[in-house]
Amino acid sequence: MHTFRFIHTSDLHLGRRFGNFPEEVRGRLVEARHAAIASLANAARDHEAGHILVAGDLFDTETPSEAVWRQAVAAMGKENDIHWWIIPGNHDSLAAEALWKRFRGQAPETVHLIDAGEPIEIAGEVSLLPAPLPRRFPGMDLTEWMRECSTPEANIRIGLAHGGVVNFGSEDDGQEIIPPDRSSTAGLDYLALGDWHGVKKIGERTYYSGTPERDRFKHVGRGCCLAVTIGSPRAVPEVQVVETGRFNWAEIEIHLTPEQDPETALQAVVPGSAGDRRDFLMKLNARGWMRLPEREALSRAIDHVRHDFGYFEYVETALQTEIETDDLDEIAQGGALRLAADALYGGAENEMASAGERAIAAAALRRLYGFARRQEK
Amino acid sequence: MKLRKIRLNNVRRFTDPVEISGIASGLNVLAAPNENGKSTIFDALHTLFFKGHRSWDKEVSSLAPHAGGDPEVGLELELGGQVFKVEKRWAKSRKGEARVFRDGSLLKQGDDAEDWLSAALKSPKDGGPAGLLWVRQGILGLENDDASLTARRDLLSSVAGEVEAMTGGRRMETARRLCSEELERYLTKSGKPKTGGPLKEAEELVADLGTKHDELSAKASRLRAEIDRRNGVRRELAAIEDPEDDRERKERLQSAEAAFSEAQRHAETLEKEIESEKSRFHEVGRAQDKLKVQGEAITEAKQARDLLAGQVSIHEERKLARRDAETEHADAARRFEETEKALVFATETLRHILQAKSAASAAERRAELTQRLARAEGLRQKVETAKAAADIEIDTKTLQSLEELDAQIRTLKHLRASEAASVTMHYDEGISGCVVINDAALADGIRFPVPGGAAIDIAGVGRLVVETPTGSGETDIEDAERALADRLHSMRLQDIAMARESGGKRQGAEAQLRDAKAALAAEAPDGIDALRKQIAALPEEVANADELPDPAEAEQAERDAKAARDTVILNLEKARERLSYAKSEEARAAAAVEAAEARVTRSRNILDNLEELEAEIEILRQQLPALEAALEEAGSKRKEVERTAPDLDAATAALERARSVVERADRDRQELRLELQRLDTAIDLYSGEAVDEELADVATRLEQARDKLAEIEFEVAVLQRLDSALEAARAAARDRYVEPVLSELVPLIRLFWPEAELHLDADNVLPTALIRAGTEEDFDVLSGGTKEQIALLVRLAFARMLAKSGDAAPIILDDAIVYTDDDRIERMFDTLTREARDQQIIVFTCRQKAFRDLGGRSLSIAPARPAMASID
Repeated sequence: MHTFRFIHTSDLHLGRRFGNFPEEVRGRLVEARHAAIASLANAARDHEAGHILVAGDLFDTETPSEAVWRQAVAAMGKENDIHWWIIPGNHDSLAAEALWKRFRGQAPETVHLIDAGEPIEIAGEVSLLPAPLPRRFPGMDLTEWMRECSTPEANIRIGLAHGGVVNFGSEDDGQEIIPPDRSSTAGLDYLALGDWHGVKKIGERTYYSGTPERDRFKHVGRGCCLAVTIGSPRAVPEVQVVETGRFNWAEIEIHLTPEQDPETALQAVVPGSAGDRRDFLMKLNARGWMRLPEREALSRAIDHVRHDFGYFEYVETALQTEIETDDLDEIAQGGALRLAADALYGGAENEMASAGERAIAAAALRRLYGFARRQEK
Repeated sequence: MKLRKIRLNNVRRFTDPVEISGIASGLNVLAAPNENGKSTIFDALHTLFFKGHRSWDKEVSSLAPHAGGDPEVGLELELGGQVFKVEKRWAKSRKGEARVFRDGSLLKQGDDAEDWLSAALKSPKDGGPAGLLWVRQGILGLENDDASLTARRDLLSSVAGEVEAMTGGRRMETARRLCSEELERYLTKSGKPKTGGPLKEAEELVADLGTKHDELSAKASRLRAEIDRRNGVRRELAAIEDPEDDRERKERLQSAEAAFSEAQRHAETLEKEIESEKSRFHEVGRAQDKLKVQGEAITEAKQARDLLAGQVSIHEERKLARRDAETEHADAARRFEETEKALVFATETLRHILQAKSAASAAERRAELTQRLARAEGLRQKVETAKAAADIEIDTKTLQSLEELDAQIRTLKHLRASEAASVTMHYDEGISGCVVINDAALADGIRFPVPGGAAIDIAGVGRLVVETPTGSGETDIEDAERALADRLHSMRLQDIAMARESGGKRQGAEAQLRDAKAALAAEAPDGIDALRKQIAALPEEVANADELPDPAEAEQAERDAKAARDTVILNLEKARERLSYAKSEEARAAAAVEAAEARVTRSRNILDNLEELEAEIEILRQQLPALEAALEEAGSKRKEVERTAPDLDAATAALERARSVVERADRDRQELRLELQRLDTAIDLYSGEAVDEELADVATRLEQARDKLAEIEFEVAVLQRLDSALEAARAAARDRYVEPVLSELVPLIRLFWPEAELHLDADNVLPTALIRAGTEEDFDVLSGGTKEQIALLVRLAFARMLAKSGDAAPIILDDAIVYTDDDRIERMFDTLTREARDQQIIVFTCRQKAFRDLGGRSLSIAPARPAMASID
């Protein structure tokens, strides 16, 4: 009887460039992904694990740049006390022959690229049953063979695969879906899955590790990996979530009402303190209703805090403006300016107009309010 | 709002505190000489209202006295029934003060005090117009000048300020300016995206990234296609290189090669048998040919020989026949000559006989014709004589014309005589003949006409001359007589009687001529020459005619001779034909001989060796059956080999196909390996270019750029919407404003110029033209006094309008009436007094005397206590 410890990770997507982020953030995000390799190695050491199982999508594309894959190989090789077991995923399938040929050519002994669906004894009495993707859409369940695959009775059986156990909305028609009960049908002690970028437990022996460094607001928080301990064959594995990500991704909704003090409301939802917000990537979705002055105040409050964050995106399309006569009075109590304000207000409230036209009129009114306020100052 | 007290300290010349107090609700007049400080008070009030206490700009600093010190301005005012005191002090350090007191207690200070003051200047209803109207000394203020300090304080700016208040004021201007500034970042003046601006940059970025994305997509597609192709090539190569397939291909080739060798061997055997059969066949053929050819040659030679003999014999016969024909022909020719001569003789004889006969019958005729010729000659002579005789006499026509002329004379004379005077002598008995007229005695009782007058000699008495005037009838008679005489003379005739005689002679001669011609025609109807020819044509007489034979005999002899000759001609023709035929037959026979000789010559060799040849043929004929039997045997052998031989073509085709399969596999393998190498290289190249990574990056950047562009487009739409809303509101406000001002202005204008009208600019509500008595005068050409009055009236109209709108604004005039003459100034005073019923008016003037008649409360500048917050 022996205990086997390893790190389960996936979806590093090295080479992703984050073109949808501002220039100044992109470099940091790219760098953080590369740094995930060292973080994973550290997590392995902390967990006293000598193996890291990468469940697909080490690279973001089948043709990453030379620098990306070389530096990845070098970084993994540098952690030479740890074995890396890598299967290609849908983003970097075996169809990327050129990539994998070069990768293999450069890889040190501790970095193992798996290109066939056959059992490998990765450690004493530990059999790895991998399912590398031969191409982007294999059109079949690549774990099927594991059912028929026999390994020594005393061996721990670990499956390693990439793909959905439910249809995540990908382009396949379900033929590629890995049965959620694959661990039991194939007698696996643990099935390490990749493709889903957040941590997900499918069953007590089946997990998605998520990406070690988050890459979108869909999966908030920091990236992580799973530290898995299998006490013996057929023992229920212990699975521990270990944070590895540098960036903390936060998508927050703020519901506003005209009565609220915008600054207080903002402070209540904005995470972290000024000191640690540099590694926060923040998306704030404002909803509800506000009056013109409060909305101005909210904008000012956001401008005040937004630069604390590594990235701050403020989405106010769902925030509507409630306009009272007093607000219009603040623009002008009479005269032409008031006429203009009234006309824009009418445009914003005109139910016969298109939503786009109303939004433009409302925004124009807010702008007029801002201009009038600036004048007062 | 109404002003009650004004207080200044440290303001220009007023280094000590001064004040103007007791300002009434209606009309107030501060009349003082120049340099008395009126404009200083005006400026100080303006600064109090419109400059913040922290300001130290040009306007504020201009208030500071030369000696230094912080200017202070205080004001007591009444607003909404309450009295407030406002104090402001400005400092260069910008640490001035502003305070508002009510009922002696501090109400507001600092910014709050400013806000209060600002609010006090606003009309509660309209939210804009300043509470004061300023009319600056000596400036008409109607020029649309810049916003300098002076201009702002002049009449224009005070009104413009009101206009602006209605049209949005400075806030409107600021909002529009900010909006325009923002828009200008994005768009050019013509509304197109500005080069270097965010909109243009965003559009360009989207376009650039779109292009890049398309290029990379295409590249990525090529990469995918190359990878797919490589997979295909690999599959094909694997199939070709499958060892089992390779072994099968080789076995198939070996078996095909063996089958081919076997078929080839059989083919060679068959070839030999065919050759052998051919050889036999040729032997038989040769023998048969020889038999045939040689036999035929011998037959030919024999026939030629026989034919020649026959032809020679025929030729001899033909020769004989030709000679006979020649003889016959010569006889016929001789006979022809003989009969021809006989015919000529008979014909000649007959001609002589006929000639003699004819000459005999012509002798009588000649005699007759000769006589007729002589007669005819005589008659012709007669004709000529008669013709000559007739020709010398006058003809009937001429005579007739002469007769007519004579008759005319006579008629004229008769007429003359019947018309002319006449004398008739009636002698007394006994007396007669003693009266002679024209030498003839006048008969008794006879009327004697005297047309041309007359000389009557009366014997013993004398001569009586009767004269008659010469008339026209006389002349006509003379003319006629002269004409007659001339005609007669031309014909050598003496008178008409001779003419008549000549006419008679002519008629006689012509009758003779007619007779002679008739006789001549009877003798020689065709003329004398024809008669002579007739005579000449008669045959001459023949000598010895009597000796000639009988004509009938001669004719018979000629007929016989002709018949004999015709018979001979027929014989001659026949002989000629026979000769011709015999000649051609002989020639044909000669040619046949020649041809037969040629045939014989050709067969000469055979004829020379005829016997040997015939013997040879006989031997060959005996050998032929054996040769034919050998041929048949060879054929049977060949057929047997053919029957048992495999199909060489099929074996060849099978071998070729097997070889082709192997070769193709080799070729395909080579090509596929090359293709694979190419694909590996291409894919490696693409992979090295990080196409997918680039594409993914560009796709996300493109998405972001599109979002950004949409944001900017929204921002531009918002600004444009705001800009148009501001412009529309401003235009609408102006429209609303001009009418009320005009309605207030019209009654004021008519106080000065009844029936006059004033035009205002719709944009800035300033006067543009004055219309008096139907004549439009441009404002610029009006006199200084008129301009000044209009300017003042326009301000008063504004004031009235503002007063009606809720809060009357004090009107401050600083030497505003300078150019106005005495007559008009009276009316202006009336107007001001009238306006002062409703609102406060403060007039500063240096024209103390002129303004004495204005009335109203008289104000003065008086020293005051120094401390602030002490206006009471």
